[in-house]
Amino acid sequence: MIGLEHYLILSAIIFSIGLYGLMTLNNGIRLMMCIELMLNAAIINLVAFSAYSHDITGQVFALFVIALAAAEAAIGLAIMLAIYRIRDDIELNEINILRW
Amino acid sequence: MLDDPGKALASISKLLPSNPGSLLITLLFLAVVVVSLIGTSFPVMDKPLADIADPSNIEKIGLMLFTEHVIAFEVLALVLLASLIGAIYLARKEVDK
Repeated sequence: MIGLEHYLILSAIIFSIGLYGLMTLNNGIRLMMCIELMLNAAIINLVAFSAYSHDITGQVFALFVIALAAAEAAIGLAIMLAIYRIRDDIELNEINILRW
Repeated sequence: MLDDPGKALASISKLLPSNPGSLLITLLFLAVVVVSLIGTSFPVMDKPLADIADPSNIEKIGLMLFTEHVIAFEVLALVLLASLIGAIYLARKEVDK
């Protein structure tokens, strides 16, 4: 029998994977993939609580979070493209000045 | 392998994180979260929402999206439009004049 705690633990594990990647990686695309992992962990929480509370509002908010993740991915990829045109790579540890 | 210890060490150091301590921080975070959510009793039902006669929840989600959360829905459309314009502005090629 799968209970609410299983979903929450799965979500915590996925969030931790995203957090670990965010702290160790320095490639821009991989960082964005880790941010997506963390967002999706939050969505798992929303849907699990929605199903177990017999209240559908959480699933509506999961749709909102998915749309916001799409907007974030579009902006992030555009920023990576602009950085790549200037610097010829997207190693974010070397992008440490705010203007040039 | 043995005559070039530097190569063996390089393959080992590739496995280790470039940012020491991040694995420890992540495991501490995971432990704190898992212990706290195991120790919490949430006021929820025993079983997930399941209607045998109508297992789909698409209709309910759509109704709620267009009645209770319609303002958030419309604002979200504006946010998507703004992000679309911003992404195009950031990613377009500079025009030579």
